[in-house]
Amino acid sequence: MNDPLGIVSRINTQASGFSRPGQSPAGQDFKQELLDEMRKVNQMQQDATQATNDLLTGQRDDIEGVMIATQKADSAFRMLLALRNKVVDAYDEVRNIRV
Amino acid sequence: MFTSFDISTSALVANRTRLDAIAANIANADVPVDPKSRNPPFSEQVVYFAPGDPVSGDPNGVHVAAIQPRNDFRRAFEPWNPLADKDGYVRYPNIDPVVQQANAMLATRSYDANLAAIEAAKSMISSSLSIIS
Amino acid sequence: MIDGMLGSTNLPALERSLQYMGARQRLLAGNLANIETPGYRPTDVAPAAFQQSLREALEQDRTDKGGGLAFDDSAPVAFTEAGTELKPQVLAENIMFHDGNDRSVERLMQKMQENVYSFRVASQLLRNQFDLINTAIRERM
Repeated sequence: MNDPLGIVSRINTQASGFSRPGQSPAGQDFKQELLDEMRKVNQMQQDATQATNDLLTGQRDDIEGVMIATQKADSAFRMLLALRNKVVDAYDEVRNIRV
Repeated sequence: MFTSFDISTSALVANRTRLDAIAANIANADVPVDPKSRNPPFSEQVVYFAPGDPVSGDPNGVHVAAIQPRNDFRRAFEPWNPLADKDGYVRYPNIDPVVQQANAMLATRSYDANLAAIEAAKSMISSSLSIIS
Repeated sequence: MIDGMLGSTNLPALERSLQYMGARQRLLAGNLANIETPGYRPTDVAPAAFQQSLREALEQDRTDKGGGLAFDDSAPVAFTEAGTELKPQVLAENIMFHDGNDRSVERLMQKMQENVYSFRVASQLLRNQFDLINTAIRERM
């Protein structure tokens, strides 16, 4: 399965340790998870920028390597964006529940 | 970014130089040696290739290391020829047109092969461009 | 805000590269047009010279945050507000022909191809960068 950010596999390993409300959670909380992933995506973007600059200044000459780094950073960013949109959608849905 | 271009182009230049020498050989095959001429007599020009590029110090590619005359002459009995010696012999460069033709084909095919290598390198770059959508 | 958005990525370096490649293409086209001109000496600005200038400019930009990509007048490549200026250098790399020309069609065509592909790579990367920024702005794919 394609899992460039390792999000899905990590969630699967955590699912067994799922906790009921009131108990202390086994894994990291979601906010921390999201921040970590954001940091990772940012790092990938910076790596891709560095790779492009190295190509332009002649410090590396593998076009395919630069292209792959760029595409990886791009896909990771889109993955994070999709995740963020899902979270916002879920929040909106919860907010619209009538009590 | 373009090392393979450099290599193939060096081979193009080398093979064009070789073809130039072959053309001169064929053109001068029937030119008799003038003993009174101040210029050295024409003799078969042989092109020697060597790896690398001595100008830039690049170890890749190929270059023409030397173009040297073979200094091999044949004698023809032509007493009517004004260039004949006292025995009636005229000297010609010993150039075999068949060998020259074969070498010319080799040089041409080699040129084509290196052009194909350049095209291959170009298509690889184009393919790597399509990695990013 | 806008400066930060457009200046913090590699957009400036890509833009300078495209400017250089465009200017170099004109030089190479001039060389090709004069391939049979007696006494003509081809001119060029080697990619290594541009890469050196760009490297120095990026380094300066990194250490001194308002540097931009403008500097140094003696180099063969100068970055100005208006664009990238090249100071072409006369080449003397081949054995000269009898007419004083210094022609090598193969090398010239090779340089042109290199330039074309560098341009394609840089413009593709530039498009990708803009796509990314626009996606971030739209907040949708």
